[in-house]
Amino acid sequence: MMANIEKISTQQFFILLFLSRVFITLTDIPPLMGGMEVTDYLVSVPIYGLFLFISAIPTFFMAKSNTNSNILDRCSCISPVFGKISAFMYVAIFLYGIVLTMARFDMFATSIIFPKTNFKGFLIVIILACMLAAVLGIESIARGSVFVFVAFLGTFIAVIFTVTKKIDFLNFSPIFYNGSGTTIKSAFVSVPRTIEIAVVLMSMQHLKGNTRKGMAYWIIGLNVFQAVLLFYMIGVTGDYLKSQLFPAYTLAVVAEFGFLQNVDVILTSTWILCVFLKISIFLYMIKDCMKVLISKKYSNLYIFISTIIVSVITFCLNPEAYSINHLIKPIVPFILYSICAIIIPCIVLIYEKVKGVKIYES
Amino acid sequence: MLKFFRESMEKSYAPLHKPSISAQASKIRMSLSENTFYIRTRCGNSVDISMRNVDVSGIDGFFLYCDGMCNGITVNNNVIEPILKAENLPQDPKGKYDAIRDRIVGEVDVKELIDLEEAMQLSMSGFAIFFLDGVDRALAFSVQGFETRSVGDPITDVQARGSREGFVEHYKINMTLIRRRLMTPDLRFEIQELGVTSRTKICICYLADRVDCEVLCQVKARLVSAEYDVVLSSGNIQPLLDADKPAIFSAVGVTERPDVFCAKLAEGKIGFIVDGTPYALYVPHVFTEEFQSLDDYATRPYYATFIRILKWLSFLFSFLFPGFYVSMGVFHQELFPEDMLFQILSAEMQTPFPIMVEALIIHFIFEIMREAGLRMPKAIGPAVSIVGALVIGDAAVTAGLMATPMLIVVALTAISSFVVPSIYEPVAILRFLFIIVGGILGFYGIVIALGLLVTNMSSINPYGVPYTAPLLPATPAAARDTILRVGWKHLSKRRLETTKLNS
Repeated sequence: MMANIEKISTQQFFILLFLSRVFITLTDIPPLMGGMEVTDYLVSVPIYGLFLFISAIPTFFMAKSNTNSNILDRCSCISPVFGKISAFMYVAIFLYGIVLTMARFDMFATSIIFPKTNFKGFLIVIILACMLAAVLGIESIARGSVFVFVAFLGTFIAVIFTVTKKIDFLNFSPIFYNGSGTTIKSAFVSVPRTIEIAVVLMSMQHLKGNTRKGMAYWIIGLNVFQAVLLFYMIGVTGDYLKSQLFPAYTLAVVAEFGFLQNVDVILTSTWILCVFLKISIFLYMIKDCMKVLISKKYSNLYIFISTIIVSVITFCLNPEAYSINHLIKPIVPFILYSICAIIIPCIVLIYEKVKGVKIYES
Repeated sequence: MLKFFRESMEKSYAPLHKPSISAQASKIRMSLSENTFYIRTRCGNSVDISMRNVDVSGIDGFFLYCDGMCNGITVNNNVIEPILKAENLPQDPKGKYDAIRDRIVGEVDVKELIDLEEAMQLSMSGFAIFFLDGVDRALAFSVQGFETRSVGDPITDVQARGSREGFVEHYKINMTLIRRRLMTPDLRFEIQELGVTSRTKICICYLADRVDCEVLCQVKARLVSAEYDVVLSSGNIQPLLDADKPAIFSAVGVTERPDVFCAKLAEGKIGFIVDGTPYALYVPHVFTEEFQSLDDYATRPYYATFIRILKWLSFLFSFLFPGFYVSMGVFHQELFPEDMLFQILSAEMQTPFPIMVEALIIHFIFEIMREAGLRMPKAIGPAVSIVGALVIGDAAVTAGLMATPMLIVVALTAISSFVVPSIYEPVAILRFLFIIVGGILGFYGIVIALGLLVTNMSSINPYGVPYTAPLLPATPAAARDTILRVGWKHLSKRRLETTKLNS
């Protein structure tokens, strides 16, 4: 029944995805990339945008052919077994996304927010809050994201405004001084971190408006934001950026706004809201996947079980796990991303082209 | 779990005793004694139920009415006397009955009844019911005349330049107050009875040319499906009209003012007047309406906008400020300017409690005083104020139990929370929650709680109009009358109906 599907506008949806992806950018760790000159980070942004656009082409075609049903409905039309396998892969990518986000946030928090403090309790509180938000539905999360977006934008503009006078153009080094290989690799590694493409594929039936246009604006917006952020980070911190675990945070630390001594607390707060939105939407997506994988009956139970699993993993996880994962196993997100954002949509598109299938009902 | 609670609630609202009398059993009999016996059996010896026996040209009859519910003079002068003094009545009971119905009593409205239960019900609504021996029907004369409160100033919804009329308890007077303001044939009133025992009249009001028919059907279905035993105020049916999901804020608007109520009807909303209560309800209701008042439209746009911004800031201040203060005091002292930090620190060092506990205690005491002030007799009001202000406020600081900055925070918060009194209840609870979250998790906990609150508010959508509209989702056309209030020229260009808010 189409009538029961929650509908949200594409603007709200892509604002949500923007905030979800932005958290990765804000907690980016340049030392992990190694060997890059600071200006090369800035160059890697458009390259990342290009790679992201290429990898999103199947999603564009999916949105062009049909927006009444999500990827799993269309997979199930090919074969119920294929639908279940696909659902399993999407559950895997979203669970991976949540765990990675929590690990990344844990690392950020234990090194920056509450050093020398056991932060696990707070992480569990965040996961529980996300669970409640996921139960309330995608409509509520997307509407909430607009509020967060306004807060985030306000804080970001305030930070940018206050650090503009501290930019030193001598901090910009010549590009590709050590060759272009690392820069391209950096851009390439960033693409699988954009799990939000899988969210787009899973949410097409919820969207009102032009999905392809929204996606295009989203990719452009992400790149512009990253470019502006990196420009300021390089301009203000220079080579110091390479030694910083979280340079975006350093930017907030040096910012002073009005009577407030520093605005890092406020900026960090908006980042936490980004984490909240990211995990909430991923939990909601897991629920949708589990409906295909098991049964449509216990929708909120899936969110609850996923929350328990994520909480247990987060509780057991070492804050260093994120960096370990990033250094040793970059192949995991790459495989998951390739399957969920490229291979499965391609299979669906090819099948529909061959069979001449045009319209689906979810 | 939720299902369990819902079922428990439904059970608790279920009628205590459903009428077990069949239509056949309650049919009016030919024999007057049988009818009398039935009524006496059902009503017992209730002293307010009067059964006055009369002789109508040699045939027995009786009047059934409820003392206090009908006008005694009207009953005597316009109903009983004309019947008793009637001449040239036919001899047979049926002929007499028809003559009385058609020509004898012409001053009051008459309704013919065939059911004793309906007859008793009408007698309790102020009708006088006339039974005649040998006739299996009865006549109900409309002679209602109970005491009602006269229309006066609304107590809870004060406007500086608005009307001085407020709703009263009797629904018919309220209907008149509305009709006087909306003299259009599109204004419709529909009556539904709710409550097996109370049989309370619920008047559904709407403008037929503006209402969303789907929403109208939805609310009617909700009322029909409700199984209440007693409905004594509009608050009883508010949960019935509210959102199905658990939410902190209510999706049902409440007003005591007929002018506000009419304005809502003009926006395509559906109103409910509950007999016996001066507070009318309306749906769909959105959050931004809490910050609007009729005075906004009586003042210059820039001032109205200023007042709106003031209200929004006060709302945020009223539940966030104590939490922020506690979190800054416990975790983020660096956010205070140095001089202020030293002042606060020196004051807080004098008190034996942690800052979070101190905030909770003072707010708790404030809530006790507020509740006492609300319920107590007016005569002892000043005494409570003196105790609150002098004993608790001044003495607590002097004794070193509370810090002065904390008292200032509480005072500012309390005043702010009364700027938008209609949402005081959720704000009071949120204030406590944010103090606890701020004290345990700091600023970061507060933002998580805030995110959850916004998500919760966004989920309220019982009639297809999001509670957070027109802000979330943003409706640019509505922006001119939400936080801003533009001039009449722009406002009157196009009427924005409620149903458009979901676009």
